[in-house]
Amino acid sequence: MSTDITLRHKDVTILEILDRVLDKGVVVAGDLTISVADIDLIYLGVRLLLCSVETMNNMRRPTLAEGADIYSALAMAAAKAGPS
Amino acid sequence: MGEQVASPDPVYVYAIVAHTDFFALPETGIDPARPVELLAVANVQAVISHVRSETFNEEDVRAGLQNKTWLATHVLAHQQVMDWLVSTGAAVIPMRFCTLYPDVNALTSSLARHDSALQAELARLQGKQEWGVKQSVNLLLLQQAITEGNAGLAGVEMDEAIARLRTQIAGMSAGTAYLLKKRLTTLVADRAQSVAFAIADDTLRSLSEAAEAAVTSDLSRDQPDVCLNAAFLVETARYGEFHGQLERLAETYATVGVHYELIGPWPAHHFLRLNLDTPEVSE
Repeated sequence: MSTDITLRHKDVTILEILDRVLDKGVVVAGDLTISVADIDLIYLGVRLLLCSVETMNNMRRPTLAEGADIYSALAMAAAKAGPS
Repeated sequence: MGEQVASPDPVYVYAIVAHTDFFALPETGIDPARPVELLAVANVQAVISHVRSETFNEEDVRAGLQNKTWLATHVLAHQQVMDWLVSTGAAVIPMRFCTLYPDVNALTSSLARHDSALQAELARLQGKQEWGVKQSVNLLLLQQAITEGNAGLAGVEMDEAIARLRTQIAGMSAGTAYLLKKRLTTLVADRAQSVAFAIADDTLRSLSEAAEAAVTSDLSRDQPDVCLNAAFLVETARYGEFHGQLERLAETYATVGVHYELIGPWPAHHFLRLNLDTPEVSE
């Protein structure tokens, strides 16, 4: 079957990662080295910076040198489970 | 839990996992000179690195956050650890990038206050992962598909005016149909965007059936061809079903200019319900 799905795991842009790890990570108050409010400001600045720089926006993560191929593992698990 | 109090190094926290989780961790994390470790805090575990104070002090990290190269390198190193954790199948609470405590004591006292909330969140996220789906549309191909009455659009609500024009044109000679064809082209160009969003609705609805939860993000002006940017919380056991739905959609819309990207798995960034940014003990 030929379907038009691109699986991106190792090919995620820095911006896509940043939008998750800076904007959507859990924040715990406490004796942090860099305060929550500071990071919020930094995130906004960083986003502007990255959006304005084409090369950065297109910068892709390198292939992991090692480690599990998560997609293959999941596809195998899915095949075992069968369609429900 | 306080045996490492003497450590002078700052503590970088990637994530929180359940206290029962135990797995091999990457040799290096955000600091290439330091390993990734598990640190038991109350009834959960923090995934941490004791980073070097000479490079992870407040001043240098602040400067680094404004520096593209530093940022890219460290975000990737952070994400690599997150990928590793997600690949173990453990429930993962992702901490914000650059969550740094001056020492273990500071981390311990901060997390211990939220112990029950963290445990509850880990239980809720057990066996679930986040997947991103982006749907993009080649509008020219879609317009062509609409004009031709492509079978892939059979399930998509179509403008009656378009259908009527098409029938009229079909029964005419090429000469008489000329003006009607021009009108059809204009009409299709005008409606293609709404058809693209109707397909996005179908995608969201179909994939949500195989997911625990779904959220959509704002569309970006940088990517005008993307008409759906969604995140789904998917049970690992139902991933086959989820992927099957996406394959079915991709097959249905394969010839009308629609393309899907499946991105993940991620920790459940879009589905976290924790609010721990108040110093009080949460409910």
